[in-house]
Amino acid sequence: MTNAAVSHIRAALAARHGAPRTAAQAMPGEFYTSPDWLRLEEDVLFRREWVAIGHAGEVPGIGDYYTTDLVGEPLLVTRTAQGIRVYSNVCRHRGSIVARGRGRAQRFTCPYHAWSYGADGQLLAAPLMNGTTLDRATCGLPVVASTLWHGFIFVNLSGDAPPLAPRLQGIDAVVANYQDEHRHFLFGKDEVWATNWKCLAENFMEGYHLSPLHAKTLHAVTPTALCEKLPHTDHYTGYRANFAPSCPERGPYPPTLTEQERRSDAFYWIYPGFVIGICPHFTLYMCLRPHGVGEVAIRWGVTGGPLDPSDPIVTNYVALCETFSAEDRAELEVLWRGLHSRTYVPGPLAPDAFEGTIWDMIQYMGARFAPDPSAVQTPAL
Amino acid sequence: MFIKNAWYVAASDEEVTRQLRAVTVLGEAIVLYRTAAGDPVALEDACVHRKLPLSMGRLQGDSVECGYHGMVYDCSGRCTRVPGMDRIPSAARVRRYPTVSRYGLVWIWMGDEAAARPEEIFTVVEADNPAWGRNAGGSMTVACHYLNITDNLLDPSHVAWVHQSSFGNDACADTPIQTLEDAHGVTASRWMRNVPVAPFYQSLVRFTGHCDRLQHYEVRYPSHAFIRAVFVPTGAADREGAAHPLAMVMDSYNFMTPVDAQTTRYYWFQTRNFAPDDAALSESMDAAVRAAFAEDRVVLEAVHRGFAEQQTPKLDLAIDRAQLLFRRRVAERVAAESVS
Repeated sequence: MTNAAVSHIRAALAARHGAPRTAAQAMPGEFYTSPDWLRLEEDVLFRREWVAIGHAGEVPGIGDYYTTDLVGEPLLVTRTAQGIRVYSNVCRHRGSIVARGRGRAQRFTCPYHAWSYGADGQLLAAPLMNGTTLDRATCGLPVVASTLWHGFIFVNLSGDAPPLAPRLQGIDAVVANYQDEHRHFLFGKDEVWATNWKCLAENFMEGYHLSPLHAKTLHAVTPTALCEKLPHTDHYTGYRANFAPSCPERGPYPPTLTEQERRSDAFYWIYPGFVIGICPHFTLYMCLRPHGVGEVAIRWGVTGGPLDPSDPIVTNYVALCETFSAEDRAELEVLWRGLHSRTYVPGPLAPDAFEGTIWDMIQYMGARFAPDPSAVQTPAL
Repeated sequence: MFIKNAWYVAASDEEVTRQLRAVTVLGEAIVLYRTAAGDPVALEDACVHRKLPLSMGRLQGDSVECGYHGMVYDCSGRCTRVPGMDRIPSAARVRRYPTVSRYGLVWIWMGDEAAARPEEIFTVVEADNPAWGRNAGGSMTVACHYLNITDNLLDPSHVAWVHQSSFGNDACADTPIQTLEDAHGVTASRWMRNVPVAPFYQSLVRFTGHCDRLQHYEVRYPSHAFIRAVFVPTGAADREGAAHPLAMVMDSYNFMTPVDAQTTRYYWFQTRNFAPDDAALSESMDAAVRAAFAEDRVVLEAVHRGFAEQQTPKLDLAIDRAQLLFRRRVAERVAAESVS
């Protein structure tokens, strides 16, 4: 695949990959606006990597299910007696979409011709198909590789990504005291924002904008000046946003938290599409997927220790998230328009504490795209 | 041993009248009365002269006259009359404790008067919600250290054994409990999923079949408990919780006032999210709670004696996590007060 934008982006990544931190520059606008580049990202990142699509608490009971999609692949997520399973949600008959929305079901019936599939994905019934070549045993819904990490559901469309958990052990150690096993799914919502998926991920992951953009919301809690970088690897990056001294504690929190953990939020970006903010009292997460170059599909939610999703401590936090997200959304939708300008020349990135995470992401993208174009392959599914 | 900078319940509103009433809070003798205008007053219960309890004297208007030699103290604790002396010694003053009447209870601040802030009195969340009912509640004296009672109020597991006929059933025995804390206290809580409704609640829930039941046991400093029970149809715990249209929510407010290290005054009432004006229901709930708390009292007093006379060390279990955490935090707060 060659075109001017893709070549330009590859060159920009190559120039930055391995460059000294002091020379850190943002990426050119095409990186965010080029449809051809997005196609590469979909193939190289979203089809071949582990991508988060939700939280196990969204399907708490056996038979609970929800549907979603990832770069054009309809997916069905359900909890079976054997655990959470993810299937391709495309009927093996003539390709319609089997399950719709979310709910609880013993079997999944395609509304078009009533082919129905069991919780194990096997084809159970196909009306009036006697005398045809149909072999039920070979017409089950394809299983999509899935795994759980700290309660979050990740899928790998190509089925050949190395195991996820070992890559993220560095995060495990940092977040152990938050006791994720006791953080329950409390709130979830789907949204589509009119910006590139990377604009949102970068925004979630940098503290530089906290004081100016969120002057009336987050600045009083986690001002830019107090942010610090967390260690990164080839698979994730992170930063810590420390609370302003005047900010009261945000509870309730597990008794295992250290003084610093009680007074800060830890943010991680697990490449490519999962960003998570671990606060003393709640965890805010966003599962991001490109939805065309100019839209990002977001499944975001809140987990936490309080058990009752209607408790004001929960609903007040969700309301805060909605408020600062609205501030982010308005700015990121404007940003995406600005990135189309032909006069925009990428500027320098702020120091590590504020935008080091963006530089880490550029290094990740450089490693994935710059050196070897032959790494781009079409996945099996 | 006690957190001083805190609001405690000195008495119920009915207990504070135009008669002098002697109480002991945190080992301090206090006389309570009400002014003609209805404001509660709490003074050190000892005349500066010969330390006769002022509660043995009599009320003169809004002032107290000592029953020994007639010294008179106004409701700020200042002596206004010494019979036989024209000049009142400047040291003739008894300590005045800040008081506030709220939720049918008289709250008293036991610490530095300048630090008393009525907005820090325990909040009853649905106090002004007309859709919520409240039963009268009550009080009892328990011959037990107050931290044994806060232990009990951070212990959702005890209902399976102590309150088998009322709040508990077998379902309460085995679901793990989660512990959280914040700057105000400690919470032990759990959802029990797809369980039978416990006996006390069976006639109250508005749905049939099994339920998801939330036990939220929260004790805040110094020694006050907010216990929330939520019953929703099975499966609703994760999606709507107490916001489910058929949810039955009962909040129990439990205020512990240490009299001394051996005795505790225990004040309580409950609020509920249904039948706000059903007086018969309120009475029957009062009776059921009294019966259950009598069960607690037998256990708590025996536990207190057991600790006092223990021959062998006690053993802590996993279910004690929240209680031990609360005790540790109280000790830290008491130590911090003694330093400052």
